[in-house]
Amino acid sequence: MYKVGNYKEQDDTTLIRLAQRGDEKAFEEIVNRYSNRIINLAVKIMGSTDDGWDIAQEVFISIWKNIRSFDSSKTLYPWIRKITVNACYEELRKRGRRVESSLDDVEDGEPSIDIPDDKYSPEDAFDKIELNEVIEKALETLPEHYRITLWLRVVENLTYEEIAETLNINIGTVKSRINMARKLMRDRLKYYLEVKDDPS
Amino acid sequence: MHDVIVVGAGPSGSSSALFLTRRGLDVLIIEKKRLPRYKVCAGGTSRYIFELLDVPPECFDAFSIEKVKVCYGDRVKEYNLPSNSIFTLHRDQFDYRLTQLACQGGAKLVEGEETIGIEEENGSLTVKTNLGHKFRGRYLIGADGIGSKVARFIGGRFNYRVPLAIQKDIPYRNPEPAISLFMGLVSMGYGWIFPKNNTLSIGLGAYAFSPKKMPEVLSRLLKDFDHRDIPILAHPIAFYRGKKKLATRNIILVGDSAHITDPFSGEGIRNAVKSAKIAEETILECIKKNRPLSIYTEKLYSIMARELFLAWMISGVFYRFQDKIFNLMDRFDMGTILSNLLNEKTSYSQLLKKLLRIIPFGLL
Repeated sequence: MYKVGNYKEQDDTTLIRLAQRGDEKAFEEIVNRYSNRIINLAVKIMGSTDDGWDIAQEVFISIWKNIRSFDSSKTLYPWIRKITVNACYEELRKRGRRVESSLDDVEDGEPSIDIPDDKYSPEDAFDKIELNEVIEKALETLPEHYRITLWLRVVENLTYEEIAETLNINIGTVKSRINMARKLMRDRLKYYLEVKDDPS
Repeated sequence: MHDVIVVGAGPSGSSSALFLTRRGLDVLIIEKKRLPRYKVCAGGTSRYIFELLDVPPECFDAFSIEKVKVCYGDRVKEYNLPSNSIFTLHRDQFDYRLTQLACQGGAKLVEGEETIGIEEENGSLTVKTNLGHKFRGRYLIGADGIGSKVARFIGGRFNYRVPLAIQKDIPYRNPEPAISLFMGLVSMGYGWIFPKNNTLSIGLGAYAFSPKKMPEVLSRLLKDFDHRDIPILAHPIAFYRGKKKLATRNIILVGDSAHITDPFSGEGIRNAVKSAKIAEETILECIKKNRPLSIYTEKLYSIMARELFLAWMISGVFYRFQDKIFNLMDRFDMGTILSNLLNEKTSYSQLLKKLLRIIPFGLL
C-alpha cells in the first residue's frame, strides 16, 4: 500500500488513486474537502436544508461506490457536482411520493412536545435580514430547473457548456433557462430593489 | 444582578448551572415546570457523562447495562458491554438531581415560571416570566430545548424537519440489564427497549417517516407487554444540521437549544453536558479577559461540528442499508463500538474508516 504522511496535503489525484485502492483515510479526506460544497449545492438546489443534508448522504455513498470507475486524470469536483445534481433531480422526481414528517401529525405527545413555531417572525428581526438572504429567498421560489441552472451559473461559476454537461441538456436550453431565471429574479426582487433605490 | 441566568433545567441547563456554581458564580435557573417533571427520553448515558459532571452514576440511581441486543426481524445478535460503561436513567430524576446539586452549590431556582421575554439594556439582561417576575443577569444561557425562545431571541434560525421519538414507559420489576435495538422497522431510524430501574422504555425514533404511522410500528415492540393504559408520548429530536449562530456577546445556547443531538445514535444528553462544559469555560474565559461570549459558537463547533457531520454521514450508510449492515455485524463487535462511541473512546472519524474497511465496494 502507498504510504501517505498527511492526507490533508495530498492533491485530489493522489487521494482518488488511494481511495480507489480502498484507502478509507483518503476517502475521509475527500469527504472533508468537499462536504461543505456538496451540502451548499444540494441545499440550494433542493431549496431546503433538510433535503440538502439528505442528498449529501447519498452523494458520499455514491462517491464511495463509484470511485473505482472514476478516471483519476480528470478533475474530481465536476464529477462530484454531477453526482450531487443528479441525486437532487432524482429526489425531486420522487418527491410526489415522499412522506414528510409534520409535527402537526403527532397525536399523543402533549407533555413533552416543544416545537419551533415557523410562524414566529418578530418584526424587529426583519432589520437583521441581509440582502443576500433576500436574494436566497427569492431564488428558493424559482421553479427548480431555473433555480438549479442559475445557481450553477452564478454561484458555482460554471460555463454554459459545463452546465449543459452537468444537467445533460443542450446549450440553447441552458441560455434560455438562465434568461428566464434572471427575469423571474428581477420580478421577485422588484419590491426590495425599489425600496433600496428609494433615497428617502 | 445574577452573574448568569440559565433558562431551562434539563441536562444542559442544570449541568451549566452546576459547573458555574462550582466556579463561584451567582447562578439563577428558571424552569417552566415544577421539578421533578417527566420527559420522554430513552435515557441512555455513559460513564463519560458522569465523569464530565464529576458526579458518580449512583447519585442519579443510574442503571448499569451489561449487554446490547441488536434485532432484525427474528434474528438477534448479542454483544457484551464493558462493565459500567453504559447506563440508563430516568430523566425526571436525572434533571432534578442535577438541579439539586447546582442549588446545593449555591444556584437559585425559580420553578413553575415560563420565560416569556428577554430585554437587553446597558450591558445587562432582563428575563421576564409569565408570572410577571423580572430577573436581571449579566449573562444568559438558553437551555430551553428544541423550541428555544432564547434561540429565537438571538436570531438563531432552526427551521428543520424534525425527527421524532415516541415512547411508552412500562412499569417492570427487575428488568434484564440489556438494551435491545431494533433495525429494519423504519427506513431511517430504529426501535429500542431500554431497561431502567423498575421500568422498560420502549420506543421508536424515525427521520422522514410519517408520525401517524409510528405508533403502529411501535406496537410491534409492545406486543409482549401489558401497556393498554400507558400513553404514547412523543418528543422531537434536535439533530445537528450545520452551523448556526449559537451566541451573542452575552447569551449562549446549550443542549437541544443549540441543535446538537447526535444524528447517528439520537443521543442528546452527552452533547448537552458537553456544551454546558464549553459554556462554562467560555464564560469564565470571557469574564477573565473581558471579552464577548460570541466566541462560543466557533469554540463549540470546533469541538463538535466535524463529529456531528460524520455521524450524519454514517447514519446515511447505517440506516439506508440496515439489512446489509445487520448481516455484516458478525464482523464487528457492536457492543464495543457503541460503548466506545458513547464514551468518546472512538470518534466518528474512526468509525467511518472502520465501516469503509468492512463494507466492500459495490455492496451498498
